[in-house]
Amino acid sequence: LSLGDDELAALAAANDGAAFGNLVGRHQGVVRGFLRRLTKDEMVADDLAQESFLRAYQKIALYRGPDRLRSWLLSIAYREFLAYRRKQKRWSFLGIGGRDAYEVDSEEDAESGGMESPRLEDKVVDTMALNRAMDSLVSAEREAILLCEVHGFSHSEAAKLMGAPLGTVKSHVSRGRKRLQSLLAGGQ
Amino acid sequence: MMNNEDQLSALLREMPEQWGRDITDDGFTAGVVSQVVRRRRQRSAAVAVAGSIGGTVASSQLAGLANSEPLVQVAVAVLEPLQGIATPQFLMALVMAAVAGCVAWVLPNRV
Repeated sequence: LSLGDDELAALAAANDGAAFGNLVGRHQGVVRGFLRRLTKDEMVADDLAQESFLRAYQKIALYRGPDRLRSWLLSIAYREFLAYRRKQKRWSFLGIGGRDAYEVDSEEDAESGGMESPRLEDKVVDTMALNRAMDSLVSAEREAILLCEVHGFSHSEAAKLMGAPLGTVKSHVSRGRKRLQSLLAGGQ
Repeated sequence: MMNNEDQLSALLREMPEQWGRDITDDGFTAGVVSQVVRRRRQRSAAVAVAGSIGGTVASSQLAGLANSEPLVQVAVAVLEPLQGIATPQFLMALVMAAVAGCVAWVLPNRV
C-alpha cells in the first residue's frame, strides 16, 4: 500500500526518516529539474536541491496540506535559489562565485542560432529543445514561466515568491510565452 | 487541432513529469537521508551537552535553537568543551570573575 504525500509528511514530522526518504525519492526529479532550469548548472542545482530537502525536513511539521506538498517543496527550493543568487551577487564584486549563471545570457544564445528549432506544429519539440528555449529566456521570465506555467502556481503566489508586483509577473509570463513560442517555432 | 498556445501550455505542464522520469536517482535520496541523520545526531548531541550543563541552558531551549543549522554547530562547538565542568556554580564563578575584571579595569581609570 503506497501512502500519499500528506500521510508521508505526517510520518516524517514524527521523525520517520524512511517516510521522508520516500518523499525525497518521489519529488527529487521535479525539484532538481526546477532548480536546474533556474540555475542552468546541474551541480549547483543538485546542491540547492539537497539543501531544500534538508530545510523541508526541518520544517515538515509546518506543512499544511492537503495535496500541496510539491508546491510547498518548490517554494522552499525557489527560496534557496534566491538565497544562492543573493550570495553570488554579494561576492561577485571580488570575482568570487564565478559566472552569474542565472543571469541573462540569452540574447546571444538565442540569436547565435545555437538552438535547433523544430516547428511547434510538427509536434517534434522534444524536451531538450524546450529546455534550451527555457534557458534562453531572461531570468525573470524564466522564473515566472517555471512557477506559473510549469508548476501551476497562481500569478499572485508567484508574485509573492518572486517579491515582484502582480502586474510585473503577468507581463513576465506573457513575454516569456511569446518568446518560447517564437524560439520553438524557429523564429527569434 | 490544438493551436500553438495550447500546445506550448501542454509541453510546459509535461516538464515536471519528464524531469521526474529523467533526473530521479537513488543516490540523491540516499545523500539527503544521510544528511538528515547526521543533522539529527548533531541536534541530539547539542541537547545532550545542554543537559549536562545542569540546567543553566535548558535543554528545551537548545533543542529549539538547534532547529537552525548554524546554531547547532555553534552550540556543539562551544558547549562540548564545557561538558562536565560547566555546572551552575562554575558559570556563576565565571560571571563573577568577569564582573570583577571589569570593576578592576574601570576603577583605576576613574580615580
